[in-house]
Amino acid sequence: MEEKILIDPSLQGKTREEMGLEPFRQEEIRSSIMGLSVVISVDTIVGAIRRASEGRFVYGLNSKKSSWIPVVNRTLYHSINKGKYKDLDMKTKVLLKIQNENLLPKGSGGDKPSLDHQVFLHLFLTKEKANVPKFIFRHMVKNLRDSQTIHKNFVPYGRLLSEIFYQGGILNSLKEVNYFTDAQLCTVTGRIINGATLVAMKLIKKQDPLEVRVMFMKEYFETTGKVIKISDIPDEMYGGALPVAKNKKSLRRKMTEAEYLEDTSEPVAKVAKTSAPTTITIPSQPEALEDEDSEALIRKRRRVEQVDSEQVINVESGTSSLSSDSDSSDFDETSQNIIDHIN
Amino acid sequence: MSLEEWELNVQVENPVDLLSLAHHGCDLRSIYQAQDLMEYFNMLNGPTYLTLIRHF
Repeated sequence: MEEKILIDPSLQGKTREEMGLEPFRQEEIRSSIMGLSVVISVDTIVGAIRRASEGRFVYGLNSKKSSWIPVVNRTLYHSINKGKYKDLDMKTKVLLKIQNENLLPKGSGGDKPSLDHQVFLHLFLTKEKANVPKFIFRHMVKNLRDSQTIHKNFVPYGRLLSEIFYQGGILNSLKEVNYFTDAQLCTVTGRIINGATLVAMKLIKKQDPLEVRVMFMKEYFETTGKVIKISDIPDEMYGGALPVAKNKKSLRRKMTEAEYLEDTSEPVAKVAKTSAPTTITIPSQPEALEDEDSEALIRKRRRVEQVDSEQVINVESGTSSLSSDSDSSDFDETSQNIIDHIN
Repeated sequence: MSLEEWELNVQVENPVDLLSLAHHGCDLRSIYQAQDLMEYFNMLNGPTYLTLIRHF
């Protein structure tokens, strides 16, 4: 984890060139991933979401005394006074939800938007063009600051950052050297906001689709011979929530250090597993032959067993995994000999 | 004291199915078209690389 945020060149009396830094052109977030440097500026975000950086931009407002408060209240709550979440109409609620999860992500408290969030929402509702890339960039900077000053462990814009990495060619170069697979990169996607979300937000009533109700009518007619009207069927025939439908939002459990290290050391563990069975099978092979009774075979077997025990000692004394591999291939030959002798 | 890599809680954006929302009587497409954000919502349907972001 390395986050360098160079917003204000604030070392007194020195220019950035004197400090050995690159000249200040615009606000940027600089970082590096495995030696590749990544610079994120407003322009980067513009490229990632394919939208020009233009329109109105307001941020960092004083939530106590700002001329925006009455304006925002009128569009959001249709009143001069500050309203509550329940006063918002349905579209605004969904807009707010999408905004809280995507455009200006918030960790918690989604139903109490800050004034910045409210203004952003106001611009959307009035269809006045907002400078979305700049909003996103400022929000990113704010969250980076928080992670350094008050140790918030909250990293927003996972998908957006991934897109930036992708467009910057970082993923390609990492895949070229076969350094990462999708599993190692912990590839994930978010939950989809669709009609089911509206149900979860209790904005629309859940109801069975028309086909289900028609099928119910048909079946009822076949079994009882009576005709029922579609209005006789309740909107929702099955009252309880299906087990699958449970979609409680729960904060993701914190990842522990051990889990994190486990994730990265997976290939090593696999090597250990594959090498283990070869050493175990070596002593067990002679035992499998004990059913044989003829003395000649036993003599032969003893001879082979001597060879075997030598092999075992070799394997056990061998320290590196490579040497044990070559031993096991030798052992394959000896076991082949045993089988030949028996036959 | 600084945060460790594995303590970071990466927030992944949720893709939005605007068509489904519109079907359920909540048409937001005109609003996002006015903001030129349709491409953004298309972009959200891609994978997210948690490890890279933790390294970032």
